[in-house]
Amino acid sequence: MILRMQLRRSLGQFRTHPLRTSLALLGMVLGVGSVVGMMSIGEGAQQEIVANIEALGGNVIHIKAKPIADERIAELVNDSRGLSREDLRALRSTFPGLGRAAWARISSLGVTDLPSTAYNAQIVAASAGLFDLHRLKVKAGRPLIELDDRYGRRVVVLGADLAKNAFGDDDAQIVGRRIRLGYAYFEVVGVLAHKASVRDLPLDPGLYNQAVIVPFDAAIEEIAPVDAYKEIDVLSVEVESLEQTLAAKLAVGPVIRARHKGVEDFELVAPEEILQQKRATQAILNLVLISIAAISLLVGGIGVMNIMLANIMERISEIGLRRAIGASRADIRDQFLVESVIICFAGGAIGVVLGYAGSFAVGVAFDLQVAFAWEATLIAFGLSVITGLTFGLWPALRASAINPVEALLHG
Amino acid sequence: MTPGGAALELDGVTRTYRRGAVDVPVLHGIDLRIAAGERVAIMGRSGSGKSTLLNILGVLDQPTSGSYRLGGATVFCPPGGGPQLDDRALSLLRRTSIGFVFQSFHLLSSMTVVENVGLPMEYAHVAPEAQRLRAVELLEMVGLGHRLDHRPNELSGGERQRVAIARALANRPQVLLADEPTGALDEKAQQVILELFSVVHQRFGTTMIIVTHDEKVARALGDRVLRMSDGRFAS
Repeated sequence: MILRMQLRRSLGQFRTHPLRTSLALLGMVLGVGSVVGMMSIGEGAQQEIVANIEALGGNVIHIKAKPIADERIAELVNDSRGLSREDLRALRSTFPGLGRAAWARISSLGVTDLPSTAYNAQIVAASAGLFDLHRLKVKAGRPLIELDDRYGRRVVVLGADLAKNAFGDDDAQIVGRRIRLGYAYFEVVGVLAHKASVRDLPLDPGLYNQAVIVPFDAAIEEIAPVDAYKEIDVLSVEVESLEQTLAAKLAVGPVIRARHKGVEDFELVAPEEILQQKRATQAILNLVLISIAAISLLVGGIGVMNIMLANIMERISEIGLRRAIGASRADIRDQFLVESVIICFAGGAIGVVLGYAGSFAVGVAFDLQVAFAWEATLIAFGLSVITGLTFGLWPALRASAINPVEALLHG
Repeated sequence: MTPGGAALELDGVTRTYRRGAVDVPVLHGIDLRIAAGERVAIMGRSGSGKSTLLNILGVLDQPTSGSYRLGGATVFCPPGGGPQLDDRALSLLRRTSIGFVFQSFHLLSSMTVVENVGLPMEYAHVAPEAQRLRAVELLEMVGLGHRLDHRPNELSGGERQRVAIARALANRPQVLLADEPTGALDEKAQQVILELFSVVHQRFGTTMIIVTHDEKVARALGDRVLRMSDGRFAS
């Protein structure tokens, strides 16, 4: 009942001084709103990164060929012949427990005989295992299979964007069509589902959206002969578990480097490692965001304190009267403390709503993924109450220490 | 209540204020005994110490020395004379035993008339429904039953003082303390307030101590009139 009485008194005060109350609220709204807004954008970014990188396969290590300038090839070719399937054989003999593997050669080529114009596509000459290890899903038709390679079938799977741009949305109509790559005709047997792009990843899964995936041997034979230096652009190997990924990455490097006689013409990409780095970066970013938000909350809290102090100065006579009719010092302290906590709590609640609304608006405007950051919401609410208590305590103690006799003279 | 029916007793009460490095004595050894139900008017010029005395009687201020018993219970005693009451106990005493009426009314403008009268009952933890019932009853008694939901600034001075009297009676105090209750009122309103004090006394038998500088008010309200000068009662 005491709390209800305090709440009623406080709400009465807020009704009497709407402008002052709104100004005190504003600081908290901005403070909590910025915490929630920043955290929900941060959480969204985190979720996007995790989803995209996990889509690359957590327990897979990708060995990617580095581009070598033509004038250096002659110099390096005696030591290293670039990335090739021989590297896989070397790895298998060193690590007999190595899991599945896939490889691909990527080049640009015009795709013609499509209904409208020619399209510049990424030709991905791939082993069938690539679909599993690079987490490629088909939304129509079928993926490439082992037998396509073995029998040299002239079949392709098209990337989602390429298929849509060339043939439109009806995937069922695309499967079975024939396209020309170079001088050879290939039958479309499948269309890939869209893959989110991770631009700053050494192996951007977004490249598959513009890709034509061709069985490796058929592609080498017909359209993309082995280049002067390397045989393949990427070699992906699966390790037993996620936990072993980083250790395996450390072990794989020396084997390849030894085979390439120390030439650094490859790089190792472990999605799990990138994920961990991204998480660490995001954690630092979150810390920075929280610090900025905490400062704005601090500013909001100081605003509440100022307004509470002004409030008390204006209500000295009321404090005297309340003391005269029986309020103890603790009653006065509690009354002002409850007022500041209510302001901060209400400001926090409005801040949460506006913070989410703002972050979703920013998400739509800048094409960012945002997410509900429940932890941040709870922290922000908790902080707003703590701010109310902390910054309301001193004014409340000052109010309770006012001499009632002197206070009554203010009337 | 003490034997003999004393509502309050002061023995050798002094009050000294410190102004910088100087001690300024305001009350000099006040002895006073007021019987239960008695009406006492205290007169004196400004600075004679009558308001300080009233604040001590209302437990808003503490004597520098001397003792004060209210309704038989020791409120203040000389150092070493027994345990001193803490702020909570003194507040409880004000809440339950004392009603104040001020010259400047001290009504809260953010509250309606009925809420102002109910305010002391909030601190006494009276249920809201009972608060309202009692406040309405008191406001009807002071002739403001038709003004319950008005704000103080919508009332005349005399009406405001009637609300203040109703508020002072909210927790059925033993003692009503009034500091210049008619000081801010015109002749007509003064008369209404004086009559109201008489009605309250007849109805509740409340002990009343009225501080005033107006001889007419003192005679109308006091069974006994005490005069103060320089912090002492004049003989």
